[in-house]
Amino acid sequence: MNIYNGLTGLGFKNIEDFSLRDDGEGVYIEKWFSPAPQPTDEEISNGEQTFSAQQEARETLRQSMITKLAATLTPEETALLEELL
Amino acid sequence: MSKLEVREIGPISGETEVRLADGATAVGFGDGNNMPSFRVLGGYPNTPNGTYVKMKLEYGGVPDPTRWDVGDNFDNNNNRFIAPEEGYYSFSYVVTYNTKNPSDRVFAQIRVNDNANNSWQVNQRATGGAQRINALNTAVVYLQENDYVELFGMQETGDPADARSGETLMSGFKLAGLS
Repeated sequence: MNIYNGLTGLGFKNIEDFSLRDDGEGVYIEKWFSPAPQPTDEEISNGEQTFSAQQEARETLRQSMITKLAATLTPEETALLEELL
Repeated sequence: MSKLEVREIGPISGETEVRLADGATAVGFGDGNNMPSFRVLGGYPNTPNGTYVKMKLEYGGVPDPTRWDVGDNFDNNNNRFIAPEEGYYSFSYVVTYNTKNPSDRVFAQIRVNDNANNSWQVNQRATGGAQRINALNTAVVYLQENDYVELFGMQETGDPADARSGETLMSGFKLAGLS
């Protein structure tokens, strides 16, 4: 389980809401700052799925932008755009 | 030999200097040197995203222009400086990661006695895509004897990343004349 992605998927922000630590044996929540209750492992796991969906949606949006912009660009310009985005 | 104990020695009214008599030697006028002093290098491979890790720092055992441990107060096994006595200490520290995206952040933090609430932190944000970001800071910290200071780092690139060895470092010394 990726705790960072799970908490991010639940809408929590690093440093503001939580602090993670790894002493070499795996990541754990060292500090919880948010006024909201600390999520359970199950909730964090669900948040990880939300995070993945958000990332996929973002990538789809990114590709859509490139495709639309590329219609007016040369192949070289398209390659640079993909690199920049 | 007699002993003279006074709180302050100053020049005669109208003069600006206090001079020692011929043949006298000035010794024992406070801790005139900033010792102990150390500078150690290291890093941390494969740091998980958004997670504090303690930097693996070490003094090589032989002083050179980049590393030293005058006073032998750096614990290589535990990657920490241990204060030999109470006082004010100055620490400078750098944590370096390669970032990937604009707004990726790199954090550097020193903690006293592994207490996140007794820490000094700085972060540096990337301004473009792939960049080498150095989060650096200096802090003056009051320590008790045997308090220890460790360097932590964190990166937010979205993936595991290496804290760059040779560029990640911590140095420090005791401030002479402060108590």
